[in-house]
Amino acid sequence: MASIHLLSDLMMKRIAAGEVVERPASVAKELIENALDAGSSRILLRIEESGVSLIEVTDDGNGMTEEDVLLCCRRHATSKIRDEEDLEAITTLGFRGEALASISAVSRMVITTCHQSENEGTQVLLESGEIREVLKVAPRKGTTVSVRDLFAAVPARRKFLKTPVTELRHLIRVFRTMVLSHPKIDWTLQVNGDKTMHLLRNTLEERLNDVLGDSRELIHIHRSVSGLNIEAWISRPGDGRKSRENQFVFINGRAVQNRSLSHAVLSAYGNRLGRGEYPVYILYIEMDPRLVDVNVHPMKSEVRFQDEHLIYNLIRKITEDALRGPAVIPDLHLITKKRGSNLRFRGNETPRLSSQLSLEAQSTETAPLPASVSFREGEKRFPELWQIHNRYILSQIKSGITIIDQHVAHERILYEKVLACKKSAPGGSQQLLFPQTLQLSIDDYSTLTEINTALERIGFGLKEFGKQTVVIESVPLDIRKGNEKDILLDILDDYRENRGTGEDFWDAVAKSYACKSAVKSGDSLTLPEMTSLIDQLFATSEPYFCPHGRPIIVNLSLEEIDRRFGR
Amino acid sequence: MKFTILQNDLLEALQRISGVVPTRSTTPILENILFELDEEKLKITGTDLEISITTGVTPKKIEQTGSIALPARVITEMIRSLPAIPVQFELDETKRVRITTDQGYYQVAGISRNEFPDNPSLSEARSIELKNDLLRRMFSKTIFAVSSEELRPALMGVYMQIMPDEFRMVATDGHRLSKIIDSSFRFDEAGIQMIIPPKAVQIALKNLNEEGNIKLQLNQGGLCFIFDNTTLYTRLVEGEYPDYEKVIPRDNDKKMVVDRSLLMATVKRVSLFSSALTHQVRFSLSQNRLAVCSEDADIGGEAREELNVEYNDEPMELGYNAQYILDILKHVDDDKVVFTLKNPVRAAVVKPLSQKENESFMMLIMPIKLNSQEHQ
Repeated sequence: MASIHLLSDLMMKRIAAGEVVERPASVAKELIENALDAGSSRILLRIEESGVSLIEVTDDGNGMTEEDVLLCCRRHATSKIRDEEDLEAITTLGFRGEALASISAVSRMVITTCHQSENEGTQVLLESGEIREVLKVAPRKGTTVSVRDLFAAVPARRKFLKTPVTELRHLIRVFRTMVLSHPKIDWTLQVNGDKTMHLLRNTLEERLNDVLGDSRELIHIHRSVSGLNIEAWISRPGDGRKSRENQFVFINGRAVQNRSLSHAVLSAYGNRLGRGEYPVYILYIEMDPRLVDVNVHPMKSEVRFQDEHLIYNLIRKITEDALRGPAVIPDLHLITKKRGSNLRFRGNETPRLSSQLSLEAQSTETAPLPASVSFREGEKRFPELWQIHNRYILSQIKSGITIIDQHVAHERILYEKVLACKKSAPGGSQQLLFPQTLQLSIDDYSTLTEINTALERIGFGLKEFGKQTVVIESVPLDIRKGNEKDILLDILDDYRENRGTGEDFWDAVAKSYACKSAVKSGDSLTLPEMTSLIDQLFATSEPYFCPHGRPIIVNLSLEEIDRRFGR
Repeated sequence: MKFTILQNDLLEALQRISGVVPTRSTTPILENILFELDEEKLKITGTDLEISITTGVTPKKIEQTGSIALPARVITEMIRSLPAIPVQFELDETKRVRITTDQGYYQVAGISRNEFPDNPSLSEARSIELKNDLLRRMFSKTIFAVSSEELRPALMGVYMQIMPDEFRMVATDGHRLSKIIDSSFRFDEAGIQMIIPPKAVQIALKNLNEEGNIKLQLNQGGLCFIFDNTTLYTRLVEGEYPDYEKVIPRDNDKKMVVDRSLLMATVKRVSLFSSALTHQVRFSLSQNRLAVCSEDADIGGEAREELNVEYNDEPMELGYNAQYILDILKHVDDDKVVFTLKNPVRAAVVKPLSQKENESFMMLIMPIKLNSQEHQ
């Protein structure tokens, strides 16, 4: 007997479904994409029991005629493309003609629709991919697709679903992503009958507030280059999150994942990120659809660019530029800021409406950019400086008050100085009257031999003195006097700790040295010292962030102070 | 307590102690001055717990003895702003002091004497008598080199060594050192050494008379200067002073003799163009010529000046912190200064060309190793 045979039509569909319909969230994604492709202005997503018992998307789009409905659940049936040429320049979210067929193969699906040209609606009931019933119903503009009992017939799949909480989180993520991708639409999310979230059509900025919480914390970038239009919001270093949850890339309105783009953004942040910190970023890229291939994976979440190199460099460049600019100076909000998204899926939250939000959004436009500009141009440089608590330097600027952390400021200066030693010879090395003898552990000693050349260029003069004993004969000019031994030991510790992270050798030494020999918080500074510190700070390439990614300068706007005083 | 005193007498006394009274202290009582009146004298005391000064002044008229602590700032400012007229102080039962002049009165709340810290007792102290001018000279030649770096506390003071046949003072911050020895000095007892905090040295310098003698009293951890009308008590710096003799080079064989004020003016001008952070200047020595140069890469500044010196050894390039050079030159009395050198990384020994009788004064300055030497 032949052991090879053709699978039944249903089996084929179910296997195909595996590619597209991975979990309830993928159903929601496909259905919402269809709704968007239908040109809807309102979309409602209803979920019951984390999507296993019901996922339903209702839109007010074009709708379908009876003929279309009957065809739409067959595989490779689509209205979105016609021929090869269309495939090369896809402008719709869907195009494969697979989704509905696949979903209906693993669920019970009801499609209710009415084409705008018809005065009668159609309702189709499908089970295991077969049409069971066709009804005529009252006309209601748009389409509703209900998917029930997902995977009921495919126990293997069902077994692999995660806990309801996890599946719901995936669903919310899809919703968030869709909301961000199409801000000009009215979105509603209902979970288990509660109206969880209702978002009126809105500007992109407001939409970011809706989804991410306070978007004015983000740096806004807008750039149009070589046929690309890029609009992006990125978090200030130090404001990142502990997960990648808030990283979004949209290309022509489609949410995509692309390693190379994420890498471009991440590498632009470089060492500005703290350990375990993930930047928040939302990139909107608009480009000629012919230059991007979305037909890579059935989920369509991966894309390929015709000129990946160009896009990579461009994204990296604009991110870097933004991070260097003064916009990265964090604004200090005395008013308890509401962190996190208001897109919570439990509880009947009334939609957060514009009046209050827009006020806040406006205030970002007057963000204190001029501060640093006036520092640099120095028409009137730092008229007055105050040191407070021997920790911060305070000065009045046009838009309010600027606060500089003396330790990290000095750290930045020293860091760049050390990096400069890599290229050119150091400034000199102060000889010590009382050379310091240092008895090192084997560990310290081997670390020392590893970095000794760098230390010498920075200005340390070290002499070996028998077994693991080192004599410090001279030190860099800017080192804190009397502290040579401790600084050296600290550098060794620090360096060893960071060595594993694959950082550049010089970078690691520079960071350790800068951190250990910078003025500490608690050191009192004289006015000339403060002035010199600030002058040097602004001569560095990145005066806003210390080598570890902490902010150096924080501005407190007059507005914020006024608000605090209820003016 | 009730007395009348002349404004200028009191002001003078207040000024003697003002240097020690902290303007802001975590122990607010220290912001006060203690007034103590007996039948003959008014004693006023200020302290920051490290150092305390008591000074005496004679009032015009004493009516009733007593004591009270009064806020230092307001009393000093008030007395300072009065003309030279008699001022009457009167304490009432509620610890308020009314200060009356012929124009009006000022009233201020005082604090009970018991809350003011007691002067440390100097029982079992050893006494030493020194000449005022000697002590003044030795202090002023060393105090500038004291370290301000708290990380090596023993260097945060002037090291005074009293030996049977000489009297020494040394100060260093690890980058420069100053040592002065008076060899005419004789002391009958066993040697004494102590590290005196610079603040006490400064106050002592202010109060030392030109002539006469001063008595020092020393006990475990504390030193008392007894001036005519004033006593200054200071805690001593704890810790062991490093073996400074070991680091003074004995074999520096190259000698440069230079006019002190000329070199000082040159270094001052050239250093204006050095890095504000490091004050680094370069000495290029050649046959009877010294070039002093600086550059500040950050602001693009550069300077170079040449001067005649006496120098007959091989050419040498040396780096120094200009601030240290200036400090050292400032403390040389002679017109000519001698630098003895060995090589660009060895300490330079700086002395006046001619020493005073019975005195040996020398300073050390550690060079900055210049980067060009690496490529030579």
